[in-house]
Amino acid sequence: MITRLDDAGISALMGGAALERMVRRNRGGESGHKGVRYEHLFAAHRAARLARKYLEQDQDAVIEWQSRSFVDDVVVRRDSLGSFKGYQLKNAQQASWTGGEAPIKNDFADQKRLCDAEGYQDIRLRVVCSDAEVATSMKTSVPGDISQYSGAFEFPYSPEVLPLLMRHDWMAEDFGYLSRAPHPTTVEAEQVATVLVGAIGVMGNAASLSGLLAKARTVSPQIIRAFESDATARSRLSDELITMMDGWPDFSYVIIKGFLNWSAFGGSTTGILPFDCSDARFAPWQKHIVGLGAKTFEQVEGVF
Amino acid sequence: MRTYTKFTSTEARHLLDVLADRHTPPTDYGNAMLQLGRKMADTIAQLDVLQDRASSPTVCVACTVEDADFLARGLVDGLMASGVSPDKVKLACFWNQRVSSFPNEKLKSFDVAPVVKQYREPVDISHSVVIILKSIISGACVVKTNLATLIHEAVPSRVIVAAPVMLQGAEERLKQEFPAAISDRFEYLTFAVDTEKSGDDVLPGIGGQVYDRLGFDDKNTYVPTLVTERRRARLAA
Repeated sequence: MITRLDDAGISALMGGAALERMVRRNRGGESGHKGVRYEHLFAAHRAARLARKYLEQDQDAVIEWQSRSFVDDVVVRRDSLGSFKGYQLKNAQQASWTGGEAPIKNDFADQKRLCDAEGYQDIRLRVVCSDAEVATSMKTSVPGDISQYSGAFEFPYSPEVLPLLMRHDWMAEDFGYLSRAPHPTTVEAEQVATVLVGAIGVMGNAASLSGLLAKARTVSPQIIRAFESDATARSRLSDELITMMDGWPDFSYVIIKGFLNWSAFGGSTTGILPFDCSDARFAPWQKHIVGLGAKTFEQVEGVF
Repeated sequence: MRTYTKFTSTEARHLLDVLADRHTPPTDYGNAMLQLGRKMADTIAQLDVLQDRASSPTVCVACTVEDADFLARGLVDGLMASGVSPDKVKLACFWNQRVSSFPNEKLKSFDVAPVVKQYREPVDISHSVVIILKSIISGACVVKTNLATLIHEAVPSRVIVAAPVMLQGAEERLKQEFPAAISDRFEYLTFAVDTEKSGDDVLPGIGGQVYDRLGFDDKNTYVPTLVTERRRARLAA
């Protein structure tokens, strides 16, 4: 059972100075929020990674960016599982566990103490570095007293997402999982990342994973896959539409990730409907197509 | 302010003026685009690689749906008129839909141009000269998307980014969107570089948005004649 502490609770637990430090760093983060895309990209990537668990195991999460925490850049909470993951991001050429006015080590220790008090059992805190060498250095120098729950890893960064994904297949695959495309190209994965980052930018400082994905799905044409199964999506096709499309020569279609994918003219011409089968636009669209009574795809190509 | 390039002839300047004139009717506008496509073909056909008839590379012209029957038609016809064998000219046409904000939100929070449909003629991209063609390149989002789609499987040795008009800085913006190993292969062909922008329009640019000027109600319901003609010819062969 997780019980989040309010300011008074945090002050009672950690002391007024610690609360003030937490509030101050959070305020600083907010004022410097604009244009800080490393955090947004990382948060979007966490969302893409977590989406698999959400879509396949129905596990939702809350993602916070500039969280009101000691480890505050990106936080992922899954309270039903007692899980707290905090990420401190370092988009710099150097980082240290113990250096500076507010050492990372102290923030991690404070965060662990707060998480323990709030009832989290699975607590993982990580320093995330854009520089590979800095990440290696941090990974191999975790102070012993926080090492049980602390670590470091690399998450590369570039202000432009496409070249980043072209260099890192794993990142493209993670974002690509959410694409409506059956076999996403790198640029389709980039579109997923871009829309997720956009959603993060307009959703304040926190959102549920399901809410974030739902927001990202509101763009038209939809970039993000549908959440329902393909069997359910297929069941939305009327018998009349199926009969009509099956009768068109040199035309094929398939439902993948909730979208109607089609191919015609010897495979030279392909497309994906700009909305999925569960979208409110689908039923009127298929009614319109059926009403046209086309004998070939060419007669209705424009409306596909 | 507008700057012309070394490729710009007096006739090309006149054609650019026709585009910039907001009173030009759609038919004349389309014809000017067609002629500019031919002018671009004249320049591209002079490239060493295309002059070498022995190596005879394939030229893949990639365009957007709104440019297909005008600028791209002029380029394709012009290349063939310049001696490039018709079977060495391949076409890829993309239907893009640009999105930059969430519904009911004025703030532009992102910029993507997903491909909703595409027509692709079979081509070995790795051994082709790819021409990414667009009536104007401003933010480079559509060009980036279509080029990245085209080269997903293989990277061509030469990529010519061609547009009658480009906004200053477009080259740099496009370059930043690709790793150096790819962007180092880009060559640019344009007739005019403009420095001003008002809203989404480059000034004088091409006199507004190309689909409005050509009279499209919904460009993504349009099937270009260039596509249907070439598709029929391929299926009949």
